[in-house]
Amino acid sequence: MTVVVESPGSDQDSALVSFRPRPERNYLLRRLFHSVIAVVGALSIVFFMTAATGNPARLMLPDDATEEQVAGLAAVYGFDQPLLVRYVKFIGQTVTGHFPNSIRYGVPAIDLVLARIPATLQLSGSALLLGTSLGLLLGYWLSSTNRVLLSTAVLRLVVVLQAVPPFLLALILILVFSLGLHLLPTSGAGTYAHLVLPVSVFAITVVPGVARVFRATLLDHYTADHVSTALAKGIPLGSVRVRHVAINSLGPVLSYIGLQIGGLLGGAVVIETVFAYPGVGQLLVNSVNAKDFPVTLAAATVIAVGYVVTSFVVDVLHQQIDPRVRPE
Amino acid sequence: MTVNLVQRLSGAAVFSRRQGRPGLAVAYLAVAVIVLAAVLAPVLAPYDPNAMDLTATSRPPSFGSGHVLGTDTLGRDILSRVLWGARPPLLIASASVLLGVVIGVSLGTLAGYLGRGVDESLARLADIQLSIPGLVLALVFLSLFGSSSVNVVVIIGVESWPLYFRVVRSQVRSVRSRGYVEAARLAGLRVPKLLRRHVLPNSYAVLIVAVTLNFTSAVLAESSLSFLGIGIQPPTPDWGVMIAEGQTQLATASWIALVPGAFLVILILSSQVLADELAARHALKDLVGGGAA
Repeated sequence: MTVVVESPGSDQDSALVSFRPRPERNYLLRRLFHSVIAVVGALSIVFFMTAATGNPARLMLPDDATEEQVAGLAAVYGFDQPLLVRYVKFIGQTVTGHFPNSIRYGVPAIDLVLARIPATLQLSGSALLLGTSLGLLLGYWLSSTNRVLLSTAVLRLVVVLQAVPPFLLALILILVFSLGLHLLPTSGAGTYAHLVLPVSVFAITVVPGVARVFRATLLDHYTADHVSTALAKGIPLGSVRVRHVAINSLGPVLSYIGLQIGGLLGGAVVIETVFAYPGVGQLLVNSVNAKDFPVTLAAATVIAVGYVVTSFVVDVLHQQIDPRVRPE
Repeated sequence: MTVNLVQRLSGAAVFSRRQGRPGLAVAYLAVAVIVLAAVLAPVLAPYDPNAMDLTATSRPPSFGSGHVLGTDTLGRDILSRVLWGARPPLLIASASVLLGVVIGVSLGTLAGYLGRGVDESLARLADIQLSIPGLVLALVFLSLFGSSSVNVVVIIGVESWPLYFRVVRSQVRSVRSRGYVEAARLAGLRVPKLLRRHVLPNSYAVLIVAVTLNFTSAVLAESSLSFLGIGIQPPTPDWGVMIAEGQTQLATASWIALVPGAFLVILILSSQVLADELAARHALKDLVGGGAA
């Protein structure tokens, strides 16, 4: 960042004055490049893990497959070729979505995964949105209320909530709202009622972190110079809170969410499984339990790509909101 | 999994403005009690954790019946299983934290001290590791190599190395060119000893906090994997496994899942409180600085 402040009395050469870093177009490209590297890196790790098991053909066939079948499949997929050739092929096939057929269903694994994407997007999208909004509201309230006892109690509750694993939270909510009050279905999908519990659990796992980060950032900003200046100018407290403090505090929340996405995705996998919600995560867990490796591979790849794309979007958003985080 | 640790590490100190910490003593006590319970399980457990009693299945918790915390669907005593079940989370989390520390600290020291190409490539590797959702990688790994305890330790440990790597790397970089390190080098100290005696001790405080944070998430990872049926395998008593077993009985015998669940929450909550407190005590906001993303 080059900040050259014009000294009083110097000539009018305004080219020297740049208080803001120039918007960097290359930033997007570079960030995109890093995302691609991340995906290829993740795929490489998976490839070398499969290679380390010996003959990957065995993973693509049922347990009772004969040696000839294994050798035949190894020839089809080229598992008998040198490691480097296989590596390049693997990356190529994965990137183009050519996964082997599912062992259980006999259809291309990628088709099974793609069919599940809308359900997962619906669940995680609405939960992220809901959880973030609630977290922001809660964090804002915690930072601005003068009811000390109540806010301390709420903060403690938030800390406790953060310690409840998603799967346990899911069981507790099922116990209360499905089995106790008979308000909502315990599992499955189809109607909006089926979405309520999974979305709630997912959202509740988002709320504590967002609320804590937002609250802490807000509190830091209240003592900042530009806030004192705004107050001194006579701007009402309420609009200082929103315009000078809250808006400026969104950046850390975004970067927090960006860093959390991996953990949240893991939570989503568990939540989908608990509620038998037909998303990619549940497919992944089921395929692992059924030893359907092609599906495991396809689902894991799709989730990894989704993760990288999401963190890319969050990074770009963060960068748009707060020019200070744009790297030189 | 690891990603949120890096964030929590840098953010944890921010939360230190909470006044008074009545929870701290309780947290220490809770961790101590759980560790003690796990160690003394053979002495404390009133029953064999796997002994079935088909005449006393799904008994609710009560003091009169001899099963204080009730029994599960196979008539196994839940108190005994909870005591024994504390072992896998504690052991697996500790072992995987140790593995993460060993990998992360050695690579971090290497990268921080050598700099240049080594540093660049290791940092890129850490980024890649951080860009893979932890649970998903664990699922792939365990489906390939099988769900043994050793494999669970390996995958959770490997997933946590970037945390230590980043912390140690930035520490080493910041002290590498200090006068006393130069002096020690000029005095003829060999590099391994130089690192061990003069460079690494700077990182101890931050490492302790990182370990506490990582322990919390390792417990969560272990219990999630076991709950999904991919970690610890039944009939081994384990909290995650017990919660999974209780899932189908929620309507009629909710205590089968809720009792181990309560213990799991207590363990995670206490180690989380300890981590926050340690971070605040060592004023880590400054220490970690640019090291954590």
